[in-house]
Amino acid sequence: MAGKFVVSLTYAKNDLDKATLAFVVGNAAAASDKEAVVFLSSEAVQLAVKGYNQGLQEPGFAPLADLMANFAKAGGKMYVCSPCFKKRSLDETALVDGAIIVGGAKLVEFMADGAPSISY
Amino acid sequence: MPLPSIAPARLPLDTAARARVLIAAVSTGRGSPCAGCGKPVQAHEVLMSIGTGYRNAARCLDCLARETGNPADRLLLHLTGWFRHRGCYAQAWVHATQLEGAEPARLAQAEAFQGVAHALAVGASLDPDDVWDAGDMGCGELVMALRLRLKDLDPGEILELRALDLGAREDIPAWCGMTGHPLLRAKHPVYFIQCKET
Repeated sequence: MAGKFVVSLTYAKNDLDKATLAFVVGNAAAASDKEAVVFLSSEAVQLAVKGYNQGLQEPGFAPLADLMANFAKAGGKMYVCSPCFKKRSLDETALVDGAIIVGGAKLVEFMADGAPSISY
Repeated sequence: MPLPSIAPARLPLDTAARARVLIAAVSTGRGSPCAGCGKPVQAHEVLMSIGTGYRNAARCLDCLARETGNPADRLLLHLTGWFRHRGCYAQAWVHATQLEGAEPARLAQAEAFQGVAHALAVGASLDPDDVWDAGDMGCGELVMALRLRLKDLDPGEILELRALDLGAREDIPAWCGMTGHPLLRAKHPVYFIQCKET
């Protein structure tokens, strides 16, 4: 349990407030030397595609593109739900830094021995 | 009541004489109760007990493994490999095989696992026992179907899996690591998975 942190996010442009908060908390975890994962599923998988987050900024917060880039630079990983990605016909060759496409087993592996988590 | 020693503390220096002592120990020790669990010890296990220094009383392979802190199959492979290169022990091993009618059944399985590992190390092609094209199946559906597919295989048998799902690259190694089924080779979308020992 010690050292891991998971943020689960299911929103993108359809709720920019939640999408931003998820990466603000993710940054807090990564900056605190936690092994941080933001799990993107449902509509949130759109965020994993290059260009999608450009120009998105929730009032009172840094631009989402910056939050995501800083998260990756700090070692954070974005686990992108494969079935959600596939059903939206998104381009797997155009992923943002730090994003990898996974299924449930990879997430279970990360969390199985205990990881605090928060959901948006 | 202390159990009788199965072999003298020191073996003769002469190979032929050592072989005679070991063969006699195998013959007399066969069927004696395991010092660990009490079940009758097989002829090969008497020799393995002597080889691991347990000359005071014979032990079965599982008890030897537990007392030496080694997995049983690894200990079995190590000892048989060592025996085969020492004339006296090799003769006693042949004698034990004659008494039992065959080598230990677990040896063949352990060697099968070792053979696969060696084949991988030298890049040999694998010969799967089952081939499954999972197509686009992914996430929880894929690993659940994989679990059920492997349940139909015997330990040591190899499944060749073709999984097109993008998440499989991460999920298959993760699932194999969690469940203990060795992932012998992975080059997406093809994965070779061995059914683990039970």
